[in-house]
Amino acid sequence: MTQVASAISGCGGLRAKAAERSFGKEHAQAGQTDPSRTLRIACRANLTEVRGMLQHIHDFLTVQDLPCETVDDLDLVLSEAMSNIVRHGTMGGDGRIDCHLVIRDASVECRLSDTGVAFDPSRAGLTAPNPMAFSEGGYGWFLIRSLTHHITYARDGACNVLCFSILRCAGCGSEWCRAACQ
Amino acid sequence: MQVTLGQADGALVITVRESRLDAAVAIVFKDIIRDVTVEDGTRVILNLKHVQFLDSSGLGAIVGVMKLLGPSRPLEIAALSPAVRKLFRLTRMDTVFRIHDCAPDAKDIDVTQITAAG
Repeated sequence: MTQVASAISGCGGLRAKAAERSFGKEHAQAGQTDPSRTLRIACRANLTEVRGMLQHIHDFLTVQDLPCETVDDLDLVLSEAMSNIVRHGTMGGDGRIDCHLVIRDASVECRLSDTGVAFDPSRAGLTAPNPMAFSEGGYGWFLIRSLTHHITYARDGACNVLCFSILRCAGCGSEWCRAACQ
Repeated sequence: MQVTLGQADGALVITVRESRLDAAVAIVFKDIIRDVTVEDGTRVILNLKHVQFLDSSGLGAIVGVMKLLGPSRPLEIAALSPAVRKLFRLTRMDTVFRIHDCAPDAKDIDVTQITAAG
């Protein structure tokens, strides 16, 4: 796992395409981003390294002024997305995952890119598995869709690029949340 | 990964002593429970009080454990953190599992420890 100090190498260095436009637009509107509220990090696409990277991301999020529920949602969405990359994208082979997080006033923006095979998420997780079916899988993309806002996917050269945001105010009832929702 | 086994109120209590039940440990967790002997007619309570993070792989493993145990050894869940409870709610698995707010008192439990890599 590496924390990327400047431009993201690998997938992150590629030119922006459709999935990144909203991400880049947010940046342009907000002007220069406070470095303490931005994280660029990368790891090899295996479950052990992903776990380490998720812990690093969690540590970064917990020192930001975020409601606990927002941190929980990000932990879960990133875990689901990265597990999918390891299991289906790189299928245990040698791959790389880059993650770029930006904390905004009203949301957390995330750009996740990987060197795995292309996939089509357009129909994934549109509905949850029937609980009475006691399915052992099929929840991941449903959870991602349930917890994210403005999610986009694009194939950019040899990389998958997934961009999404998670709203800071998740209706958790915290003091911050109540103030923000006034 | 580490779990402890115990008896309380006529049920077998399985306590997961990990803060994360995710893709990295889901298979190991299922394998551990597969090796636990549970008599027919015994309730099994999965105590998740130490688990702060559960993802869909962990949830799938819990469902898999429920299937392994079968209807004669019903699996119940206890002591969910807010994040874990939310995952059960979003997936509506809270409608098919019996969920207890608290785990049985640990003082009444004869603790056996099982540890496995992963």
